[in-house]
Amino acid sequence: MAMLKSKEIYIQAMSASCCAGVSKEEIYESLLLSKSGIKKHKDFLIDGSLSAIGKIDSPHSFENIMLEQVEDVLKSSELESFHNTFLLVGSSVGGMAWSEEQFIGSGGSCIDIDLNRQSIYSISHTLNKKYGFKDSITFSTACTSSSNAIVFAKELLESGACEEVLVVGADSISLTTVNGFNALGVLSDECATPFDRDRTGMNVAEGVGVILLGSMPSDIKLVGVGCSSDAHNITHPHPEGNGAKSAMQNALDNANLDASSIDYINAHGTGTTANDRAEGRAIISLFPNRPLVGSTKSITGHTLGACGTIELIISAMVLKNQTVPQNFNLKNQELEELNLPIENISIEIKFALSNAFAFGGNNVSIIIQKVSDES
Amino acid sequence: MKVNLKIISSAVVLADTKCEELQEKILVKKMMLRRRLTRSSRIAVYLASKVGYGHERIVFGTAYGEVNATADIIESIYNKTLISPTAFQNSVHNTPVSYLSMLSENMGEMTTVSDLFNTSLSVLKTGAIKALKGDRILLLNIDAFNFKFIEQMNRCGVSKLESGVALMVEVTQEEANIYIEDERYGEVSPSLWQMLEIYNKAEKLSNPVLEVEI
Repeated sequence: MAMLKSKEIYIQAMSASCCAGVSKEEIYESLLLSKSGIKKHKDFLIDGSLSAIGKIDSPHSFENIMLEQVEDVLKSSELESFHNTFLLVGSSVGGMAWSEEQFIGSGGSCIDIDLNRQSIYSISHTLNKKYGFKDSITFSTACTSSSNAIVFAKELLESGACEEVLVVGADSISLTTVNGFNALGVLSDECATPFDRDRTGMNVAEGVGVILLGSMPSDIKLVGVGCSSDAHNITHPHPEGNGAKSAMQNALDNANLDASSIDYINAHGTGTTANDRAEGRAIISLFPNRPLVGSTKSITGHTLGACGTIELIISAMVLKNQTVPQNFNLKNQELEELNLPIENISIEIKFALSNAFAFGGNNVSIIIQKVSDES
Repeated sequence: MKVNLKIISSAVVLADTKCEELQEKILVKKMMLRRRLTRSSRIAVYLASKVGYGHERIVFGTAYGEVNATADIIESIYNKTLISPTAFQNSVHNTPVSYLSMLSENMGEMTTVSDLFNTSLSVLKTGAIKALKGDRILLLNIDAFNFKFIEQMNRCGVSKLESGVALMVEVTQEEANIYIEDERYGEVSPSLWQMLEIYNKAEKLSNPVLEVEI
């Protein structure tokens, strides 16, 4: 009987685009130089007030930006096509922005809405049409969507069902998400300041992160994944971060590592009062050796369902460059026990853990390893 | 690759407009929480109770997600009126299993897939791979779209506007006696067809074993 077997899985190629840059190199440079992509816009909140949003500055449509990133991964991989590749998509809004345009443009009617373009499935529909993947599945668990896709990619590869998996995390800005987070009172009108005592909330952003996973050795290995549910509240995390702690512990167990092995944590760190406090407490309680912790959302914004792939790519860039970016905008740290660098730190980093948490208490942690030349 | 899944228990709900016997007052004792549950969440809680759900991991599938909440939000945007925070927090696709995790105090893994008309096939494939860890998995597939714009959107002529299927499964070495043959159920959303087909076949067998090809 086929079972999941431990297998060495590597990042074969990766590409990302968000408000902080249109390539993974540009995004990482923005993090090191504290160049935030968050800007104030008047076009999103229905009351006409300003909101601080992470919109990609590009003349291309979001769909074309996504296709460019996927093409970039195909070109930088050793594959000739994606015909034998399993596609996993992670998205929380799918074609929502397009549907909003149709609904508002037609005077409040759904008559022109095409399900292939409206639904979460619209992303894999577009990608399948262009590339003809072997098969595809779309994950939609709000802000952990693409993280859950990575979890499943590891399981698919370990099952032997396929040789390569392409994970695409993609979410565009929509009126629904901007105004929805505003209704919850967690949207900041300034650039977010995660883990700061005086933080004022999050910045909704758009982005695409694309990761090709397979068994061909590279310098970044995917070693552990962990999932959990808070079982606590539909929007608020457990105050002590019990669900977050459980996801991180499950990832450590899956990687056969103890907590002291982790050198860097890319926190979910949205900038909301509840998330940062719960996540911070979970990290403090699980990692007594105080690894470096950073939230990159003050530079990239919160890219919702895409943040899992984008922030795993950022973590991979940290491992490749052996430099942890500063926590931009952090002035008055709330939890003193957290090791939050306020300047870039070059240090030996072997293992990085990336967190993503979502509505409903859906939690995912992912661990990657820098493979040294000797190992 | 093929994975055989033993179907331990199964349940279904199908209603033209609204499932009436979901036993909410018995299954969800807290009134405030009960009032916040979406239609899909109520169906999820009911189906889970019917298949003997305890603390298993869940793979949930929905093609359309929380259309009532989404429609309320988009109408508020169009009319420039206040958006309900409850509508927004209930608008994500994983809402039903999040409520289920709270009600069952289950801190385990719950994932949600959404592939329009291929959704039930995605539930089965995802569940089959997840089940290779050896534990029992609850497969849930629900679509509830009795909402204000349904007449404009219902181009397939679906008459069952609330439907859901639950299968409790585990990996087995036993020979399969259920194969997916893509039967059509015109009155039900295509996003549930394969799960419904398996439910119907499993009901007729004493030891149903499903073959899933990935």
